[in-house]
Amino acid sequence: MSRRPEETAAAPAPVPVPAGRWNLWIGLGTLAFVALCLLAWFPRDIGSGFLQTNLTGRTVPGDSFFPILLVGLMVPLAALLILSQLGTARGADGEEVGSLGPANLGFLGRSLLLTAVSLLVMNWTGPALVWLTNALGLTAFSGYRAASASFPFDVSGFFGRWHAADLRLHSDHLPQAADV
Amino acid sequence: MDLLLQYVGLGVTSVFQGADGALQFLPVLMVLIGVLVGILIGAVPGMSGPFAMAIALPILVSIFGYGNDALYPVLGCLLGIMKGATVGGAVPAILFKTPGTPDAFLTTLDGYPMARKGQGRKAIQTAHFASVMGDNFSDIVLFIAAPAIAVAVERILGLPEKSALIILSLCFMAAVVGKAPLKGLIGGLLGMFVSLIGSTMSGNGPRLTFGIPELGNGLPLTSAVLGVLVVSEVLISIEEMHEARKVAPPAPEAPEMGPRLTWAERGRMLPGILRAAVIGTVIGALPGIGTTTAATLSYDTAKRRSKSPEAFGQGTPDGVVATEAANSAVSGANLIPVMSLGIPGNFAAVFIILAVETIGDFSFGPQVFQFTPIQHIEGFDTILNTNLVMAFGMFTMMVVANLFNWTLGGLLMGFLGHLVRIPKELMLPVILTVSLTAAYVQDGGYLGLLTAGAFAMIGYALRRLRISILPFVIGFLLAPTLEGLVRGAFTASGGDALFLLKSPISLGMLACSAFLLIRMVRQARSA
Repeated sequence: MSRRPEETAAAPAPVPVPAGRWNLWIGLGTLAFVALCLLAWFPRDIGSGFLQTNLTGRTVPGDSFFPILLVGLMVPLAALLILSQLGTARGADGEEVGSLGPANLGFLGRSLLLTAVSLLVMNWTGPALVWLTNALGLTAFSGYRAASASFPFDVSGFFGRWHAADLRLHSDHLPQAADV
Repeated sequence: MDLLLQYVGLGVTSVFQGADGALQFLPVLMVLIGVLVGILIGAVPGMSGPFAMAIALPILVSIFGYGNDALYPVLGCLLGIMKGATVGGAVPAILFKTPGTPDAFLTTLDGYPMARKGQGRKAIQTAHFASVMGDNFSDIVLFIAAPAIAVAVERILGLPEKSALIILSLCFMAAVVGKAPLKGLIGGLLGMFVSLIGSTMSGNGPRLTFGIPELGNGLPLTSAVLGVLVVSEVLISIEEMHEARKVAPPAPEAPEMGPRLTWAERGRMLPGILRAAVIGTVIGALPGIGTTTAATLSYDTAKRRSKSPEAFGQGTPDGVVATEAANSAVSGANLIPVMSLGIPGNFAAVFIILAVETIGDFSFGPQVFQFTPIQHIEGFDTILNTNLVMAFGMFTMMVVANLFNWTLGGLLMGFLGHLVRIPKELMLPVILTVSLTAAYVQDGGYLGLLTAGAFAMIGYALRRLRISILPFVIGFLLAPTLEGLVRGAFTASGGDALFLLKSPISLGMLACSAFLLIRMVRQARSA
């Protein structure tokens, strides 16, 4: 499913962001992330420090050793990314610039929502089918758990989810409010 | 030499003989299924071998389980898919100018004009012949180079050098993949960072879990890779379809197929195939450089060396030979760094490594090729390097896959034109459902689903911001190894802060990494 860069480049929605700006934000975001890790996240969520002394008295790396090295390496890279953008004319043919605009976020939001709905459909299709067949007198299960190992109740959620995924795709082809 | 032959013999036998000594055909059957699936998937525009491998892996694991017995069937199928896809992608490229796989893009340059001239059959048979020859050539190089490199690495490189080698590989990968190397490297570090969630190296409880107990065993590996590679790509495809308001265009008519390729013509192609296969193999052995680069370089070389360069682009078989032999030669060669160093160089290799890490006790790396003397101890067992037997078993399955590609590939390619008519609207929901179901089944229900969803968001953002996915995924996979090596090297040095700079080899590798970094910065600033 991978594609050639030219094909992907044609795709994103036009977002009015100056060329180079997104790389600047990525650099600054990386620095902020590093600061957050070093000052807040690591001290609270890692059990041992950068170095520790073991039972034999030797100095050995703690659990923070490698994470600190990793985020430490991010700092010069982010700084270089920022500097390369500051010193370059906008639209220069250097580091490729992407964009993530409101249209993309809207699409992601819709996808998340429809995926959540699909999962709910998957979760509820089986119990609903048991309830229906019980109500019609076709089965007499005490509940979904009693029926969940037998056909078609074991696969009903899967097909419910597939149908929801299909709906999700086609919903993206429906005319949007902005187009009308 | 005797020892080598003994291990080769054991490797070949292990594919056809079960642990109880009975004849088994399951690994060969799975290779066959893999090749068939690969050829079919390769012929569907928008699909590729690694994509099919991503979806197949969790399904295969759920069928065969996690034991050592599952390794051959699962790896056989994945290797079959990888090899089959290299053959199938050329058919729609030639008949309809719609490459089935990205690496078949350059095949359209001469394949499609050949088909328009009524030489469709000849173009397809040329592609098949060149592709399988290129693939076989690179496999032979793999069989020789992987053990040789591994033995050399194990003798020469210690912990600091191995750490520096992984750092150099990541820098190299970031430098050559995509057009944003600095961001690629940051992405690689981010991938490494994310893989640390829930792990621990000193027994002080899991790290970076935000107190969520479910993360205590680390992030589910397969779901994470499925999310970042497959689901994010599906999201991008759906968005692009929405942008283009594109319903599948009417399927083009298949052109006149024309005469067959003669044996004399095949013979005349051999020098071109050899040149392209060498280019593809060299490119494939370097981590991060993909099939498209190999095909482009090979096509340009063939054109420059040709007595009639003006024929290129007008429908010459030499153009098809140059691209198909080169891009297929990449598939075997990209397993050289995987098998000898444990470093994946492309997405197909990622899924082979993922399979090996998920199933059984086998693992890639230089230790695989230690030729331990085989000793039968009466009343106990046989002492030998089982990893080496499995490696030769894997080589055997690759040879079997090549045989299927030679025979079935040629037969099937004539019928593949119809697959171009499968609309994306049908494919995408199926792919999405299968991927999410696979994540749900393999990685413990909703934790797998949520991981796949979260990584799909990460993958989507990375793709939209033009940050290469490959360094992120490779970083994610290599982080535990690198952390182990770095910690070991630091401890062994007695806590020396300059532990990576003490050895000349390690220093040289880090200097190369620094050079690549400077090159990246200069590229980022170039106007």
